[in-house]
Amino acid sequence: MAPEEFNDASLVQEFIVEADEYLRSLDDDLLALERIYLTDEAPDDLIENMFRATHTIKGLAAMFDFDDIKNLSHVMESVFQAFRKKERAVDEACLEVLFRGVDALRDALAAVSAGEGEVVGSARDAVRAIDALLDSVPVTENADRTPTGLAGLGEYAQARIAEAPDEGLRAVRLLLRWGIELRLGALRISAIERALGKGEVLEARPLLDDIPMIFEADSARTDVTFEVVALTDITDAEIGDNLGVSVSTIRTIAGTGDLQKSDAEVCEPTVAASAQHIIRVDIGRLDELMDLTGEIVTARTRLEDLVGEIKAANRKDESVQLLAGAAKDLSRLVDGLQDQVMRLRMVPVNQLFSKFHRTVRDIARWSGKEIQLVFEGEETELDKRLIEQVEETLLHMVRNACDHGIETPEERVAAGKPRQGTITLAAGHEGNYVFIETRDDGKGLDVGAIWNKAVEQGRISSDEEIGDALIVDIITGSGFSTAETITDISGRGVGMDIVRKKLAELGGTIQFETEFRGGTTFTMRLPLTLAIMSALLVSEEERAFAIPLASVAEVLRVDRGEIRTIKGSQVMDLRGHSLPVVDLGHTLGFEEEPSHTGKGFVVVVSGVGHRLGVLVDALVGQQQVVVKNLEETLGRTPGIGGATILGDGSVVPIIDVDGVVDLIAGRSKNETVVGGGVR
Amino acid sequence: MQLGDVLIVDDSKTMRMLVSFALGKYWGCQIREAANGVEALERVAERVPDLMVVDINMPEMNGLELIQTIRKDPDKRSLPIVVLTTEGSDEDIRKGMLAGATEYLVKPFQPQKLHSIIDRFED
Amino acid sequence: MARKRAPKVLDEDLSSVREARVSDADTLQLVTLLLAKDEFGFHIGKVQEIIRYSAMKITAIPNAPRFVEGVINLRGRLVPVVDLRKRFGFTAEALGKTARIIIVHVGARTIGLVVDAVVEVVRVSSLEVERLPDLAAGVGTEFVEGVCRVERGMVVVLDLEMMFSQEETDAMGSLAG
Repeated sequence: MAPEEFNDASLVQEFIVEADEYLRSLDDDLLALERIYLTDEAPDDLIENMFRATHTIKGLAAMFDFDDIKNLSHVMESVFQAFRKKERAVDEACLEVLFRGVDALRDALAAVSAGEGEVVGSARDAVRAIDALLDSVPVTENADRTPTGLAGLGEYAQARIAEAPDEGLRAVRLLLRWGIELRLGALRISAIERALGKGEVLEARPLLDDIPMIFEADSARTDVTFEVVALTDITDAEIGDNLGVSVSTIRTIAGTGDLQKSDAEVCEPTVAASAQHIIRVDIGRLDELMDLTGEIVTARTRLEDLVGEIKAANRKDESVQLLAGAAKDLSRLVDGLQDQVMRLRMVPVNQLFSKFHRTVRDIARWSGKEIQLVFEGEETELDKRLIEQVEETLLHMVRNACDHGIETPEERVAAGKPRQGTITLAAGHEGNYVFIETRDDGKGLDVGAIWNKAVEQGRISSDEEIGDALIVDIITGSGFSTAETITDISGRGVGMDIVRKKLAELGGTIQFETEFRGGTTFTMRLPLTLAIMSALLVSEEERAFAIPLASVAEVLRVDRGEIRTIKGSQVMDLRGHSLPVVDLGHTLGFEEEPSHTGKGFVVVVSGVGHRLGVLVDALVGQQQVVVKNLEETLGRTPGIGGATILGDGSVVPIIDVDGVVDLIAGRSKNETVVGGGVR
Repeated sequence: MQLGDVLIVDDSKTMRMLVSFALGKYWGCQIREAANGVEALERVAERVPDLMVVDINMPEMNGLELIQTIRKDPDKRSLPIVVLTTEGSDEDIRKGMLAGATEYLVKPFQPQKLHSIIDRFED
Repeated sequence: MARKRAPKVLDEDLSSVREARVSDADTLQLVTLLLAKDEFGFHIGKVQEIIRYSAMKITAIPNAPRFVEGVINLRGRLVPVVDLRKRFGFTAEALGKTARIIIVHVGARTIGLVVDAVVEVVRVSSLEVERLPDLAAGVGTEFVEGVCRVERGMVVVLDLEMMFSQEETDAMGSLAG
């Protein structure tokens, strides 16, 4: 245990600064090593440098009780030690775990620096990975303290040591350096024996073998290290105190006393990731970079606006033309930067797809179906965060395809299809969007049955046009309860509702195609990245709001007089269909009553199973905004999905369209406010 | 023995700070530092300290070599040298003591432990 | 709560506060503030910075909890701002020139607290903080760490961690819903 005395902020800070320097040099050295190891033998001083860096970090971390940092630097040191002693050759697997170790150390230091203590997760993972590589159990503090054996001891000593436990004694070996003018007076055996409690000294001999040259000119030999073997009934610490020596020079001799068992954890060996020339970066840092880039994009938009204004006012001014040109160049560079930063976070969608092999196999097994899962475009790269976010959604869709899409082998054969059904997961790019498709060659959906059911439930009127979009709205709409006639999609009613909600959160959409008896395809479209999205900026009651462009179908200029109130709900006519309309200010609760006069704009948005007109005072513009989470600090804010900071520093809340729909649904209680069939 | 002059030899600046921090009890003493064996020998040549605290693993010249070199001089045979290092195996300690260390302390160390050693020298 | 003279109000410069942060274990450093006419305090270690209320534009977020004034743009970060007076159910009068937003770290979160004024930073022994839960009128006693006596009278020491614990935030959310 390290002493509390060292727990001082400035000392810890000193440690962080120094360790950071070592980590930087470790990074450099590892990169250098990576460049040469295939062709050349690693230079000794390079290895030595790295060894010492980890060694020093270990020693310092131990002083401050940073166990995870200590353990990690210890195992890393072991790897360098093995290099140093030529017990192990440098290979990709080694480099991989060492890089990972450096990253984890850096994370842990950053956490210490932020006053959060050590981040244990990544450091411990790295320790496991390295341990797995070294094929060894973690070295614990006690591992070095293996008791010394009896070998080389005289008969008397051995006999006494054997009897020792019966007398409540244990044997110890001490290394004492005497002879500083015999200051301790300790060459007298009796003095040592007094320091041993009830014990006795069995042997005391100078360590004269391999004595270094220093003694050659000195016949008096006043400074000699003695090895003392003795019995004692007190602890190492007590002996240390009594003799004024450190515990590290005292060893218990095997066969006596309590052997400290190594409490090494059982570790699952970690398979080293497929080694490539990769530098790992914490995704949090990428997020920061992303955030910054997003801010630059926002600032660029502002700059473009200003340049536009200046240009309009000074058409003939040559310097304005130059400014416009420079602004254009900057825009192009910013686009490139944004593109590259996004790419940094891209991972192949295969990482996601391959997780479903197991799902499909399991469902097929217990349901008696035969299903194969195939991929298309699995090399398509997606934002890592997006992949995390979309996993559950895709799982829903794959399950649905297995459960409700693919028929039993018998049914398939009867329908003239191969016994084995096929589910295809496909991915690809489409402009600023990526699509992920779940395609099955199963029985498809009986659109007619769904249609009739929806009419029966009063969700739509019988004169609505039948269309795929509407069907999707119906089956993905919340609370679409089902009856026997369409049990096949009963699972989908609820599951797809979740899918739709999740996609809306991510600024994505879902489409659906089905052929009765021929199969179903669901296509998710998602923005390339989550942090930046296109938004329509509007103003209502002199407050600005952003509406995700992905939810906006169209924008109409209206006279508020055109909006009628039917059964307490506002409705307007849109190309022959009635469109429910809500007043944004009123819905969000900062306006007492909806205003009924004057011109305004209706933003037609599509939410979960609904189309809705949102009435606002004015349109401000359309631009890319960086989405900042509010939920982390504010809790849930119904109708508001986050906020963004504009180029001028102002904060603008972002509308959550589905949330707004829910708000209205809640407000109008039993009154029906569902979408009509706007195509 | 009055502890007047201490030489701390360690390649880590933080560790040198920690040791001098731990020596705070002897507030009157002068503390000098060296980052490796070569520097330490220079410091010793300038003035022989009353006590040395020496790390083992250092660049240029390591602690064992440093101690051996110092012990070659008969006048410095009884200069108290405390090894303060991370290496704590029997073999390491044996090597350290054989090289001529007066005491061997394994990191992480307790300041009290260092104190009790120093106090012993002062007897 | 007995009040003596009107407390002198600290300027927004916090350099003295930052220096004061390193403290002995037994000494507690409190930053004290005014809510309406009462003086409250909390541990200085929680404070990141203090800004003039008038210097920040607060953007209201619809459907946020009742006492959340909105969010501010603090160098690119969105920080929610809570009106402590509303939080404690005091009648909130218009904020004057002395009004400040104290940016604090509570748990992993950063929150701005609107107060009528920041008074001073006092050093008190932790022993001086008496655990007298019922003294704090109008404040949920679970948020009160204790009270301590300063020259002018009593300071109610708040437990911010308690006040903004996750459960509490959730409660705030449902309250608003």
